[in-house]
This record gives sequence, structure tokens and C-alpha cells, in this order.
Amino acid sequence: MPARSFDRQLRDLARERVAILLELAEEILREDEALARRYVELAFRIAAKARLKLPRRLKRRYCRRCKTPLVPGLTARVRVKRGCGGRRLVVTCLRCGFIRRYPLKASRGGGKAGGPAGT
Amino acid sequence: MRRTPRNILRHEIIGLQARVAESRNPYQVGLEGKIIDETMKTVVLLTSSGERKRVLKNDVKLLLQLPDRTLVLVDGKELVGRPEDRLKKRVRTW
Repeated sequence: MPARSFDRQLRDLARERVAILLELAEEILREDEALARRYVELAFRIAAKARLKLPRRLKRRYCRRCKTPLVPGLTARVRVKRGCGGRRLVVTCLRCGFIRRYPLKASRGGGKAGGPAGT
Repeated sequence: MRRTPRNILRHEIIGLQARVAESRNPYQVGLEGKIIDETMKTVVLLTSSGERKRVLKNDVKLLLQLPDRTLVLVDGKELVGRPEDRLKKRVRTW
């Protein structure tokens, strides 16, 4: 098999595995958080192995530190804060306390700088 | 790429329904449940009674039910390896 098509296949497979795991993680979050974290961790490892780039929407949906799926009101606190250098979106993981700050661009009509996107 | 009998060894097995078809431990034969976790050498099944059973991949043959309801008999020995490493495992076909 030519190297390139093999690589493509591998990523295809990896993408599907990641999707499956992340979906399972969301499903089980309310019953077993530890397991949800485990699924996210596995998904990220698979993505890394296959050198997949996850879209921002997915990257921001899970705590960088403890891999908990971030759901506003349940596992995350989302605040828009004003301060030096414009507004920032501050996402705090309520499980491990990890804080992530995202700068919000001066609105270019709606903007795409959202945090843990729609859940 | 959907899970098929051809690619299942390199695909995700978490979430699948499984039954222990053969095992070196006779008490494990017939165990049935959903695969909820996987490590390098073990698979964790969630049985219908809510128990979590950890079985050694090396010791069992698993009958897996794919989402499209096809059944595949997999020798656990082929599954040995960390889940993320199985991704690149030998591309054996037969």
C-alpha cells in the first residue's frame, strides 16, 4: 500500500475512534465522570498518535488538565471579563480548578471566539 | 470509517457489546456486557447486573457485536496493546 493512502486511512480510522469516544464521554458524564475523563483522555491520545488536529471547538470543550468535558453550569464556569487589553472569556474547570482565558476579539459581527461551544 | 470485521482490531472496541466465548478462566466464559474500558492487557465489561468485570485480553476470545449487529469472534491476543497503539498495528488481512 502506498504510504500516503495508508496515512489517510489511519487518520480516517482515528477520526472515527475519536468521535466515538467523545460521544460516549458526553453520554456518560452525568453518571460517571471518571469514565468520561478516561474516554476523553483516550480520544486525545489516539488523535496524537495519528497526528490529527482537533478543531478548536473540540479542543476547548475539555479541560486541558483533567480532561473533564466542560459543561457550563455543571463542570465549568464561563465568564466574560473586562480588563487590560479588551475582553476575555474565562473558563474555569470546576473539577480541578484549571483556568483558561481566551481573548475576545473586538466583535467582527458575531465572531467565532466562543468557549466551550454549544453543549 | 465504520467498524467492520476487517478493521475491528484497529478500531474502537469501547462501547461494543461483548461476550466471553472462551477463556482460560472457566468462570469467565459466558460473561456478557458492554465494553466500558480497555487497557493494554485487559478489557472491562459492564454486565447487565451492573457489575464491572475485568478480563485479560490474553486469556479470552471475545464475541463482539458491531453496531450493525454483525458478530465477530476476536482472539483477545490480537487485541493486546494499548488502545492508541492498536491503531497502527499490523495490517493483517485474511
